[in-house]
Amino acid sequence: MSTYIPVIGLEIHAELLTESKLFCSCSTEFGGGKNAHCCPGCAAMPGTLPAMNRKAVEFAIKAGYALNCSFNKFSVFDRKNYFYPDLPKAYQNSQLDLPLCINGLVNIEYEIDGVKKSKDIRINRIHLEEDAGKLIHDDLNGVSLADYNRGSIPLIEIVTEPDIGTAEEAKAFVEKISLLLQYAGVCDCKMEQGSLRCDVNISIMKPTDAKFGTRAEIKNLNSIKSIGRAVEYEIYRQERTLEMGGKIIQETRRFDDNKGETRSMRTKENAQDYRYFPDPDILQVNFTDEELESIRKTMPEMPYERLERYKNAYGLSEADSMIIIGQIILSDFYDNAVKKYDNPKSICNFITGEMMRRINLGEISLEDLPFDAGEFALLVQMADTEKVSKNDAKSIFRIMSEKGGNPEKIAKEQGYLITNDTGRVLEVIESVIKNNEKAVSQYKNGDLKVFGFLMGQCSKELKGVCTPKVIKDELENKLSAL
Amino acid sequence: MDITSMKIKDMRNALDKREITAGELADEYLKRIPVSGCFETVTEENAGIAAKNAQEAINSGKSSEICGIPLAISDNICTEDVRTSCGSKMLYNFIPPYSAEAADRLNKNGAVILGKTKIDEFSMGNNTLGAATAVKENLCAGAICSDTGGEIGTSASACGIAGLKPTYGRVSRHGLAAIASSMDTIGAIAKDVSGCASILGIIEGYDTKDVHTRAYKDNRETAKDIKTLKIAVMQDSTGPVAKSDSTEVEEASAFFSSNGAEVSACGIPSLKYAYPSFYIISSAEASTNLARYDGIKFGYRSEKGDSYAELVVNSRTEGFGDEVKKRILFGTFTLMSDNIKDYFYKAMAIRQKIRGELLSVFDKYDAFIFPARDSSYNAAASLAGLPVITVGGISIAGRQMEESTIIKAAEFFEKGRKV
Repeated sequence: MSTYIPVIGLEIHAELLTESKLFCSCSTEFGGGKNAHCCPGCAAMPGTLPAMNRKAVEFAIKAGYALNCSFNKFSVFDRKNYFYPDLPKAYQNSQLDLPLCINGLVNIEYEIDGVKKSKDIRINRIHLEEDAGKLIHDDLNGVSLADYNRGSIPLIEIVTEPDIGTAEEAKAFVEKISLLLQYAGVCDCKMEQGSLRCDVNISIMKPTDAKFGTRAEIKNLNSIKSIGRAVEYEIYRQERTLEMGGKIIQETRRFDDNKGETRSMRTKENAQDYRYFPDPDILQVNFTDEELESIRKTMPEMPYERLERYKNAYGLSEADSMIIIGQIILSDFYDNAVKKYDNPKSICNFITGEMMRRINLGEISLEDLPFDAGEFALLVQMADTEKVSKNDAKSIFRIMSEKGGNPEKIAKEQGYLITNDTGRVLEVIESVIKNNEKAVSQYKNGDLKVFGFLMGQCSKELKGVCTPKVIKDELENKLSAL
Repeated sequence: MDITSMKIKDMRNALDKREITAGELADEYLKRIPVSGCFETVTEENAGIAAKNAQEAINSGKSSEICGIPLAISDNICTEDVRTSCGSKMLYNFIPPYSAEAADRLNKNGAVILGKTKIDEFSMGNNTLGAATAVKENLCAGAICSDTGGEIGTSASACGIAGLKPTYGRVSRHGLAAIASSMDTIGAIAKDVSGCASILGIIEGYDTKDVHTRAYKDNRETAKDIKTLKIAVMQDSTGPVAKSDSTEVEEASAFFSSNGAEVSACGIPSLKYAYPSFYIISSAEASTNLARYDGIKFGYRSEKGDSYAELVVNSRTEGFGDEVKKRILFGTFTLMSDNIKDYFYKAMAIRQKIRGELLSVFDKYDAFIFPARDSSYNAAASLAGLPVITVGGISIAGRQMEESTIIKAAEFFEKGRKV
């Protein structure tokens, strides 16, 4: 069965983070009451006209820059005609022949059996289009309801060349796209909310075949995991079909997450003729080099740029840098913390150590931290400057993770704050020496193991007064002076 | 003299001189309308309120050229809270929550809207616009109507009144139920050219809601005088031209010529393709513009249908009339992937060619005249988005955004011609 080579191309739909919809001033906010974000234009009432949201075009161009694309300086918006209740105009505004962005390239890195792999995936195009509304099927009352809040939210569709060969690569690609779009600031890529969705085109061929096999398209995958599972199942299904002497037919399939299988939705014979043609209501977009350049200048720092900064300016290791840039929310948190306390390495260590540990345990999540980067930076600074011990810093972090709050205040309340009161340190050490004559004489006779005991006695008394190092030094001094 | 037979300008004078109040004027019309068949909806109550407001504006001396003038609006132009049926069963119950930009500008400038005039279903038939008949029969002083392929000129000439189809993009299409988005315009009908110009002066101009609207800078005061005007008289028409219309063009050219204008015969090589191209493009655009009427969101919904597909098919089958269905089917055909190159894109290429040919005409001439009911030249003017003014059975087309030139010429012709 392994004699086949899978050929996979992806189509990724990403909702753009504009405040208003593509053609009107309705809000794009997720949620809200049913049809709360719906104007006469969203309902396609007679005589309503589209007025293109310039921001959406800019965002699509930014996505193009993020994916190393070239641009069509002259770009056209088409009508894609079909009837469906979630599409009020009965046509979707999209782009067929002259999309905004073309010929991009995205590098993916992933691991198979501990071996690192790297591959370039070509981007065929990125075009701008509008989202459809949502249908709510009320089986109890036997009716379907239409909610147009999502209708006409600007979307980009990213189409790859068929450069992907495995489920691992497909997953790595979507993860990379998600990261790039988030860094570019054009999409929040929340697959669970549908702001990033993926269609997979997949065929298999023998190494000796001159042509690609017939492809099937799996629609609307909404998690990285299901992309991987759907690809694996579909490769398996196509191989089995061919091995059994069957034929692959060109069709659209749906992935059933519960069963882990793809099912046929419609075949090519039932494919619709969308009658694409340029929309006479929408002006063609013309860009000059200067305009494109001015959009490029507004590009935020991309992940590979941050990686360089972390490694070169901050001296972080490649591995640590990769962990931090791996999530924009983490990287932003890190940058904000460094702004408050200029010790990039120390902050990195606390993040990759204690913070990641609690995140991995599921105790805290980056999306919903009960403290801010400033408070976090303060804690790291307090530990570095020995205002609290390293151990106590972890305890303070646990409290911050549970309830939030200012680390200074917590340290005070919990008695973790080191006061460095030298008089008190000496007082305690002297009293411990006095009250443990037996142990002291053992130590003086060369039994150095009892030092730990004496140290413990002192530490108990000196909690929050000074660091263990100070106790250790002072105790050693006192004992040797005896 | 019956005041309802007056021209808009004279009516304004009568209002300014306090010979009649806006309320009385509106009542004069309202008492006749119900017995006519021109109106789809009469907005008596709104008219009363508008007349009262208009009178206040007149009294305070701050009134527009159409303040207090009783006008009508074609029923495919949306009017807030007033049923807008587009002459179709499909929208028999549609009450828009917004007004078309043009209707809104009329309201804001004190026009007294009497109601909505009848049209063929989505204004796609060959019948005279209800608004033109209403103006002719003194049921309103003027009206705004849609023009996609010469409906205003054809209707105005049939009723012996004046009509003005503006440049595509001079008047916002917002709120006009779209037929052919690339050619739809909203224009004016009135007893005379000056009345049309007054209405245009109110409804024209840039609107953020229609991306095709543009700023204009022509000016009737400084427009070319008849003595320096170069006029082309278009020939070689292959469309159905009424004999009387041709005669009218001959008379008009003689008139312009004898008054000092430079008049010569002209033609465009691609004229015979103008109407077929217009028909393909307008049907193609209409087929998708009318797709939104599916019985789901508003308008007519069939009582039969167990699935979405059945419901849509039944609603559209029952809701649309034959002419509209024919155009939808034809337009759909021209856009199908197997046909689009042979039909739609070919028509678009011809459109480009015709635009070019008409631009060359304007290299030599300031305007061209043609029989108002000539479907070929009406189609050519629509394809090129030119302004056309119609009076005395002839149409005068001008350069884009240079309405002032043709308005001035048409006014001169209107005053001087033998009636």
